[in-house]
Amino acid sequence: MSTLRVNEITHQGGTGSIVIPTGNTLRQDGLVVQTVQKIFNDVTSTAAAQTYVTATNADLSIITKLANSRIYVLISGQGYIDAGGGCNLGIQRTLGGVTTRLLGVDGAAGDTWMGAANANDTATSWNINRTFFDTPAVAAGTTIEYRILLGRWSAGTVYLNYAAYTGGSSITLLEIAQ
Amino acid sequence: MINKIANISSAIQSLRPGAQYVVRGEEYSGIEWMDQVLTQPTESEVTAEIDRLKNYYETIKYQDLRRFEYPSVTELADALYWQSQGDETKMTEYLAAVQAVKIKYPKGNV
Repeated sequence: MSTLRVNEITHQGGTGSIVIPTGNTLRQDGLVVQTVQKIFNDVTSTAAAQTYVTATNADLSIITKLANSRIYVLISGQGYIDAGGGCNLGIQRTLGGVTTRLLGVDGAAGDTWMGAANANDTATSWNINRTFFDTPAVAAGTTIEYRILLGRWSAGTVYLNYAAYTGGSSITLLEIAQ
Repeated sequence: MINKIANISSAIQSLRPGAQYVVRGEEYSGIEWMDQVLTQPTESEVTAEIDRLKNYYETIKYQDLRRFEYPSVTELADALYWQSQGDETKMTEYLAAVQAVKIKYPKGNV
């Protein structure tokens, strides 16, 4: 490997875009290497107590361009709960056939109530955004899947998205060079 | 305010109150039954209940519409006070406003 030491790189014409050809990657620690996003309207509803469940069509995969990148996961969900009790969103990762819960804790000491709509006596809409900075520690060219989880505390049915009302929830992945 | 929608979840809640389940998508096949005590309703039970709920929500839609347009309880309290002081003006206005909402959204005929 050779090293180029310069203080400045300038376009041949003085100003303009300096292109990195397709198939090549300019790597700088902390730089965003790629971004992928999915917006979906599919409805998931749950009445499972104090439990996170996988949401349908709420998954997105990224194929890493660099080794040892970190993945910044942003999820944004909107929906409805038809009684008080609380709800939340979580995140899971599937890598090499192994699924790992990244955000969201089940059970009586967990956080399925903490996102929105707790202590309400009536139905309400909700919007929850959560992020996770993952360190999968994988080689370039590895496929990693992330999925949104839907959690419900104790009362009512929680809906992620809602039938007949479009707008969508989303999951966004950023590969960050390290 | 949104329109209440009769769906698989609302049908299950009606047929099996308190049941634990997940529904992914909007088909019966998307049900994951998690309850250890209550049994999962059949597809025909769910379909029939969705139809029943649709009809029921239509007949009570007027209640939701009225609720958001009735004059406030604060206005009623104020009208009651002035009525106690011998002035019927605000109570007459209040009752007229209530009646206008009832006429605008008649029972079961929205």
